[in-house]
Amino acid sequence: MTPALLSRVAESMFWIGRYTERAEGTARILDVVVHHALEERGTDAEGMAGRLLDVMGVSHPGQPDLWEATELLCFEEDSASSIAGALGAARDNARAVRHVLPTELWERMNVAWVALPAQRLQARRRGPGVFLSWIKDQTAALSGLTDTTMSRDQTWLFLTLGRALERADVTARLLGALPLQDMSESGLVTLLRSCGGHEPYLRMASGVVELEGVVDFLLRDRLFPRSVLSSLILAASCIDEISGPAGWDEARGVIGLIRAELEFLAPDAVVDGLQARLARVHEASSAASLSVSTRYFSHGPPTEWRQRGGGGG
Amino acid sequence: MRPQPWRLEIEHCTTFTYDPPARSSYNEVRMVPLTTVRQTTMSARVEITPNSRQYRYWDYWGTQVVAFDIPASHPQLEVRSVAVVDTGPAGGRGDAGWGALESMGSQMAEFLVPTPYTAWTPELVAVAEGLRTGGPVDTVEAVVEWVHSALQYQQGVTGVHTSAAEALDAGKGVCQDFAHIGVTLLRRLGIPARYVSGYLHPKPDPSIGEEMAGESHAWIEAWTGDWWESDPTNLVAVGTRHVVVGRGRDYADVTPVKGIYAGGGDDTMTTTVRITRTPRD
Amino acid sequence: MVGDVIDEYRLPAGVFDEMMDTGGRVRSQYHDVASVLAQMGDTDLIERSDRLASAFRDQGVTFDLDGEERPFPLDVVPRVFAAAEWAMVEEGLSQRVRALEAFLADVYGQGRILDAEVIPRRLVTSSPGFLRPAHGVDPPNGVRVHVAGIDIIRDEYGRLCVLEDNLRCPSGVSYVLANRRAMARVLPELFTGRSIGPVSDYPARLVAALRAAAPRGISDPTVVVLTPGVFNSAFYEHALLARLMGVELVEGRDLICRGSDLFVRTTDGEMPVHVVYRRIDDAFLDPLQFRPESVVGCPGIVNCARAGRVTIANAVGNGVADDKLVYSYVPDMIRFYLDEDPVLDNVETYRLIIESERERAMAAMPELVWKRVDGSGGKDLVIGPTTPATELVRLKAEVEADPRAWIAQRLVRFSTAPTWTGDGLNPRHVDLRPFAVNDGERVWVMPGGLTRVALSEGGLVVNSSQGGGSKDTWVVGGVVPTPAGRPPAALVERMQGPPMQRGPMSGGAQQQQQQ
Repeated sequence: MTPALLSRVAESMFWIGRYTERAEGTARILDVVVHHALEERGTDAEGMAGRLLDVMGVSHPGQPDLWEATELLCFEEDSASSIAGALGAARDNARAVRHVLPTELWERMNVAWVALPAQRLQARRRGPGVFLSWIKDQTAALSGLTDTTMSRDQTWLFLTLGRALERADVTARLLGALPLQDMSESGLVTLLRSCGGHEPYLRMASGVVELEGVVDFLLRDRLFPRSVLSSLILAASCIDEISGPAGWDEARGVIGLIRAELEFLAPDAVVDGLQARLARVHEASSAASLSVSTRYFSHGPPTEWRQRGGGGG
Repeated sequence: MRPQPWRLEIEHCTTFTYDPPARSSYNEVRMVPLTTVRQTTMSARVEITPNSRQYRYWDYWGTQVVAFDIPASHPQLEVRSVAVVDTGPAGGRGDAGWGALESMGSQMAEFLVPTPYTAWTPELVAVAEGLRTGGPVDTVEAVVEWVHSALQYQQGVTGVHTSAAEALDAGKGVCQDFAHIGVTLLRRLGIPARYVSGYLHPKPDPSIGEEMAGESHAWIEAWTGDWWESDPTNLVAVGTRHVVVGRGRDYADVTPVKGIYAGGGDDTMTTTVRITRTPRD
Repeated sequence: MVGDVIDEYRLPAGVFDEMMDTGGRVRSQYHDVASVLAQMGDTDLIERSDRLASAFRDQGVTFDLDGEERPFPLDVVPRVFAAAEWAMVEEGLSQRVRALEAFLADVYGQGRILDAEVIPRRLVTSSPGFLRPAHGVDPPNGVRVHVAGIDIIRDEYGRLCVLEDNLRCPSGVSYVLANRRAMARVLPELFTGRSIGPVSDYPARLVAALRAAAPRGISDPTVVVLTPGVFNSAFYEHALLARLMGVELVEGRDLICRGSDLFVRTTDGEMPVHVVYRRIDDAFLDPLQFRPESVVGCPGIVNCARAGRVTIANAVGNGVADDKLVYSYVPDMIRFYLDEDPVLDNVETYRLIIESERERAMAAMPELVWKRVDGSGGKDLVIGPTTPATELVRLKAEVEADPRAWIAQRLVRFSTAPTWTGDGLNPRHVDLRPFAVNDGERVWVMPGGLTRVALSEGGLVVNSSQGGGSKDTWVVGGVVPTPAGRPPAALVERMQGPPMQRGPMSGGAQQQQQQ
């Protein structure tokens, strides 16, 4: 076990991890969806946009087109589902705990946040691609600094736990965002590229790109760090480090169950019932998150006190 | 002939009920009688339910404070204070003239200036001007008599936050209001005055061993060369019937139970005082 | 060189300038800085100025104004003190802190100075900063003023005098640290070859003083910094100090009092806390004792301190010494408690509760500066000469109604220092907030401090909330002591590293093959 951390600080670290991962994951999802809609002939772009917003949990009145959906997912500042919103929320949390963050990590995060409005203007002129790759650069730098400048104490563990839970969730959303059954081989390649998994997949699958293999890879490859299973394993190991191996931990239990489901699934059954399975990944991720909150972040909002007068004749 | 000292046993029980229950609370109780030239506290204890650790200290005004917190959810808080006190008759009043009072002005400053409870409204200022007679001691007596006649004792008209001016306006009030008006007028006249919180035995000549429903009470002290007490509510000599707990500028300095609690509910308070004259052995 | 920024620097009449004397000569402590600046062109200065601004923005060196994070403008030209003069400032501040400590211990204890009528009792008991719940709280090592920020100005005659005392939560030290770091990065040539009094050991001094103030019997105390939260205007400073002291930054909701002990909520349950460096005002610190509606405080903490189980730094109730009317008696305190003469003078102050002084002040109303005794941050400040007559009439009525609430002071046109204004160096009025740390053994004064500058021409209000900026503040020319704990250079062993290893495809081998 590692030395204890202030509950409120632990909570902020956890959310810094979740929000930066969300910004990155959202950028990757948008990247592949936009590519797919533009490159595949005969794609129902409007349908894709609606499906994308649904899978990202963004409510949308009417039938938005792809550009409106992109705008919502990139720049809606008050939304926890947009890239700008997630980056802002990560930075706000970082600011509240900047006394425990390495200076370089904080400054990197702050510089990215300061640069957001200018990047938004750029994206208006040059399309979302430039913005999305800028976001991937920023989050790569943040991950790098997290790994090279942070002590492996509870600050790092909670941040990494948040990152891992969010990554499992985001990769599940990535799989949910696309009409997998209708995708051509080039569509599947785009999907793999969007999460940097094209080359690792090719080496693993000896160059054969087919739906079952790609889904299997993204769902439960043990070596590829963005797969759902890898992310869950990382989350579980963080929980072990934080709580110590002894005793029952609810979050570990929840993660263990969904891990088992993924691990023991027959290879030819990965595509069947995929949507329901992805929904269970979402549920497990949010249940684990809630359980971690209850166990470690129990500080609550500031207490409002009431004065009582009294006594005397 | 000086009256014999009394021994009084006082049990003061205050209960707060919260609906819904309070999540936690922090409290200070000022219920332990003082030891002064006129009274000696033989024993005193405070019991808290739910049971909690007590921290005792003497505050700026010389009152003994029992501080405690209740960290867990509680639907009810009971504070029970039990004390045995020997009380004697009033002491001297001093004979300072107006000049002496004026030269004491800065040292007595806290007891000469208005507070939120004892603000000088034009009405109170006018009343004060009309009450100056002869020397300071006579003036104190005039003020106390005037307050006694100006206000009708009635519960439920005023509350713990009522100021002197508001009570006078209402024409009715309880001991707290009588005392506030008294100190307001005295201070305006340049006579140092303090608010006294304590207990009153309801009977002038109780039999030993008879338990009575008493009350928590308030009266005043004025300085005219010596501090001496008066009771504008009852217009009786302050002596063996009166037990002093604390003295300050106004009610806020000597509030018997002060506290804050977390949780959305309102609180209701009930309070009982039982007072018994017991044998001095 | 003709036409450089130093040659073009023009002094205003009737004020003392930090860099240049009335004969147009650069004062000796400024020689080095002036010669470097003279070699820079306008373009260079503009670029450096921009880099300072962007460095602060990127680091998040900001203060919060109306809910917006704003960078605190830093001027490219440092403010320079000669070591000899600084020694006098140190002595004066140390003396003042010792006297104020004695005063606070006295008014929350026996009240000797009040019995002796050196300071009228009614003046203390009527001070909004005199907090009766602080009575009887005896800090373990006797220190109530762990950190003091005592504002100093230089008057028209070159005399340094004290403008006000800040013994509650003096802020601004983070800008001193950030300013020095930014200047060293952006204007390194100013630093080369000069010995400038170091400011970077402030956090170490502070945490040592806080640890020294721990409750009796606690050998390895847990120290925390208590902040009202990210929305507080000085949050940046709270976070910086916590980080540089290596202690936790907590909010009121992280703390909990049980019995007379204080705990902080962690991922491993509640852990004890012994010393709280709080950056929350007294009124909000403990809703049991003060404002019950406070949601940023911690109920019960004052009684934990009273019980000697927790040390609150700075102590509760220090505001009575910040009262501007009490300030006027500090020279009397120095004589009463220390039997010394004050090293630093006060600015001439009218005590309006004394009838004769009030009459004199009223007669000179339009020439004086009027301040509320509990005002701060440039608020409740009326500068006679720049205030319309109708306002003064209203002020007069206000003062007559409550003379205890105000003081009047001679209007000091405090000194100017060269400041980059976008098109050249121009004189702007500056003050100084030095910081002193009291660990109970001695009062340490940080060399330098925060020089605040009024950025508008002729302006006399330097507060950041009123559009002020700041300057890095240097003490030069003295002997800079080696920091304690570092061995002499000769004793440091120097490692000779082996050459770096190479992989199969890198470096020389490959090049040789290609040849």
